[in-house]
Amino acid sequence: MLRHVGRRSLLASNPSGGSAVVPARILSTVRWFSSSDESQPKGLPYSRLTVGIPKENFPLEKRVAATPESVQRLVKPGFSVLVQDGAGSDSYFSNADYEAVGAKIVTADQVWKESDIVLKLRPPTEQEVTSLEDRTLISFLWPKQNEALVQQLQDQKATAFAMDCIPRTLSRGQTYDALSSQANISGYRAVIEASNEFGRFFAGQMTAAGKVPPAKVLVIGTGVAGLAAVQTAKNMGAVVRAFDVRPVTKEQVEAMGAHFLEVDFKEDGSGAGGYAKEMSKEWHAAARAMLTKQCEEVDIVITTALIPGRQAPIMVTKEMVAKMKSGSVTVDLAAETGGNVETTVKDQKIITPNGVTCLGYTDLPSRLPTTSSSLYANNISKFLLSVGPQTTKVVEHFYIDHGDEAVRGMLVVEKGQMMYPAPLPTPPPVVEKKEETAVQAPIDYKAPYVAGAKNAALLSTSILAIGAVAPNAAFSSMFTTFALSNIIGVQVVLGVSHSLHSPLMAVTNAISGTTALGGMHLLAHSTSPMVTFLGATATTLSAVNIVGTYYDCNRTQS
Amino acid sequence: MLDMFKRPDDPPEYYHYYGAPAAGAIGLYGVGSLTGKFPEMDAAAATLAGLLCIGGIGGLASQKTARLGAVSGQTGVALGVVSTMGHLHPSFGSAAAMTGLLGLGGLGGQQIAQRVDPTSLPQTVAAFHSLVGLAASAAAVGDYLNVADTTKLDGVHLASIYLASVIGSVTFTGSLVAFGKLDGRLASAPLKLDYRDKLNAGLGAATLGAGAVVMGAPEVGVGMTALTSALTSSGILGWHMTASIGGADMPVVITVLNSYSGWALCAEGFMLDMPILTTVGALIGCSGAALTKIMCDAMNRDIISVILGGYGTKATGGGQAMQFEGESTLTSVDETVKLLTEAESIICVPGYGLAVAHAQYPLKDMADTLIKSGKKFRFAIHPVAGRMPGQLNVLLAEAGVYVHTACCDDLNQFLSVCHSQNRLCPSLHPNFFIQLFSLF
Repeated sequence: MLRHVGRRSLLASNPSGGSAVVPARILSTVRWFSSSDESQPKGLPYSRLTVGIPKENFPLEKRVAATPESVQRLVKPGFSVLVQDGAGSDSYFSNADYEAVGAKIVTADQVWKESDIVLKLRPPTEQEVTSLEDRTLISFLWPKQNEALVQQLQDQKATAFAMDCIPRTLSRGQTYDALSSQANISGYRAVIEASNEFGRFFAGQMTAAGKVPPAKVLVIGTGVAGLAAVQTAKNMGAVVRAFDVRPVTKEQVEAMGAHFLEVDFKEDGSGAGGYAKEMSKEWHAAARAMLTKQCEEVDIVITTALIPGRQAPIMVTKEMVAKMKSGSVTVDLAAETGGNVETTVKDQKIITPNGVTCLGYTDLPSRLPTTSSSLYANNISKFLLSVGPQTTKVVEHFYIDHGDEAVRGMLVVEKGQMMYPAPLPTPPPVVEKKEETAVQAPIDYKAPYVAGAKNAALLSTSILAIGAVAPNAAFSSMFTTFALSNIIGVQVVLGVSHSLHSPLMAVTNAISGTTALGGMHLLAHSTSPMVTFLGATATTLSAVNIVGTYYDCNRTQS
Repeated sequence: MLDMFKRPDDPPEYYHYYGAPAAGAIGLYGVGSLTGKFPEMDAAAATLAGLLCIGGIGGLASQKTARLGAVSGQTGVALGVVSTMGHLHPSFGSAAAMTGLLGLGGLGGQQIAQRVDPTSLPQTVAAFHSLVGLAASAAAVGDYLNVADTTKLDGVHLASIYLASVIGSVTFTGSLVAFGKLDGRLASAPLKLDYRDKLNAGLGAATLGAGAVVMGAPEVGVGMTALTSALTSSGILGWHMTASIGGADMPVVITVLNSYSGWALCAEGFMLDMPILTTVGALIGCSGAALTKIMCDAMNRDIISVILGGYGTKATGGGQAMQFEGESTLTSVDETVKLLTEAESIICVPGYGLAVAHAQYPLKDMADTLIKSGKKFRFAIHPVAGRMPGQLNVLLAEAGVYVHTACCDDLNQFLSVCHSQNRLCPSLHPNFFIQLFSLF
């Protein structure tokens, strides 16, 4: 019983406009919000929403979009959660685990038909989208590559968020960045798989039975996956070299203790949003020459070079593989989008005629299913909880706010309206860094000497001037005492240990009790009661000081 | 205070053996002075007293020699008093009066000290500073009145009298305000009068003007008026300037006032022609100045900006506040506990909150627990932590924590930091990933 009601209220808070058919489930329980009613919170309360987690049926996929921990995170503020029977079994989460935190175990059909919001990992199949009807989906979508899927979502007037479209430069977005969390795991696993196939230790060894040289690892592409691979290989003791088209990553690589390889041709591959851009042919030729030479030396090559939305570039050709030593290993993390290594066969391990093992696995994160599911589940559940509360500050209400940079960036389709790609904030122009012929201010070596000479002149003149106006011998000798005391004072005080600054204050306080001497002087030479009184005051107060700080200074533990 | 730094396993100390040479020196001097045959012995005794005072501070170079330093300082002051008595050769009445007054003051001091606990150290120090200021001013005015003919005083003498009274007055009122703020009797927020700068300038000008009059060697009546007005205006100035500084900057104010009290003492030395006062005064003045410099460097602020009432800070600055990158994540006690148990190396940066909460004992227990489970636990004390320099050291020593790390220069490892202070050290190395947990 779908009616075109509720349209006005939901659209009033939804600038995207367009006709919207409100799903029956939400409609039957939603209250009327009038557009002028400011006291009503924006969005739909969690208590009226159901979240569904289906089982992933992509081949080789073992991950799941929710773990018991993330389900608990959703149940607590009021969501109802449905989990497909056996959804988490490949990640070692049982039905009982989900039920224990408040989820309900249902069939596949029920998940798709009864959830307002479906959380998924791999893009859904056509059939699954059909079951979704016009409800909401959050998952990896790859809108550029899956145009038919996006069209289907539009036709059905559904709403969809893509976990792969997180704006990468939003610092808050790191919490929702599933690409990074999964790439991190891929990078780690790549090294593990390589070491599995490789015939030597990673770390060098000198044993009585002989010397085993360390493994030399080359990592091409130093994004999240590449850096994870560098770190893991380094931890296992290998000699690691890394290469990337973006020179800014050099610092990161070297901070990990690996060597960053440079190409003779100068071109900056840093594109917008932290991604790489396509390089020129000349650069490719120079890079190829350098990498070919590397391939002759290294034992393991791990490639992670991806360009968003396009085929992965070939970084290692057949000829280069042919030059590698027998027993070497290549691991291609870009196998799914074409591969960086020409000899890669998707999802398979092959051995070339010259004895190089080439791994083209596309399911590396799935090989650590528990961890990757946990991290992905964290990403997606935290994102879901932020849609609305992040900007409206109204807790526990789901609301799609176009002003929220993360939400807008990840929004692909909204109630059938195509929202992808999001309008980019005008990026700062990529400043052409000209080769700065160092126009440094010439270092003025003379300056400190000039300043020092000025100070010396000032000091000596002042002291002589004081001598000129000194009235008598007593003053002169007092001045000498004064000057020397200052020097002693500075030296002595600078030697005081930092932890003893409080006792220092106390000791200086105590010795300042020598004002008593001034008072006593007056008392002895007093010529009037007033003077006697002043002298007495000075003496008494100083005594308070002396004894008081004496006690303070020597205080025992209470 | 120094006894708190004693560890239970330290070797036994026999400082009372130093009582013998101390008593001996005083006795020897006393005898020599009474015979009247050794007129220069007074000066020598005064020199010895001065050296002992220097030793008092020198002894604070390390924990081992700290208590010896305290003994040395105390002996120095005692010998100074005795040698002055000897030098003055007072009449019996005067001598009795002096002794009586000293005794009375001493009793008062002891009573006050008994009632102070470590968290009140800053206030106590501030309060005692005010006594020094008052004593110096009183002695200066007294000396001026005591002179037979003020028109015949030379420039140096006039200058010392003027300086001693003015500096003493500023120290007196400033310290009282500092005491009030630290003790919670006065509002901690800086006093922001509309005409603050004009007021300061006016008072300063008035003080200098009065000084010019005094320097002209006028008749005692005119001179006293000028001196009194200088005392008043500088007193108000001291009050106003200190009141205009926020409570958090009090540690620096205390060291500055400490320094001032030293220079007042120096001026007194010039005034009365007593080298021991000059020596001790220079010691104190330099001590305060050095500490002030250390703290201003640690706060990354100019001393002038601190003194002139927070000029250049949030309190007075306009324009956009510095944008802080990144996010602060609210955490819970449970999460913090979890992270602490998983960490390998922990550094705790305590602040004034620790003193107020009297949490030094539980903190020590927590540190012990973590150390027992094999973690590295250290403390890093920021120079401006607390309300007085070194306050946190004393606080932790009271709880039995003796090993301290110097500040920020040593924080250069990947670590978890437990931080209960609302001030981050500006020189923290920017490249290292540190999880900061602030307890508010």
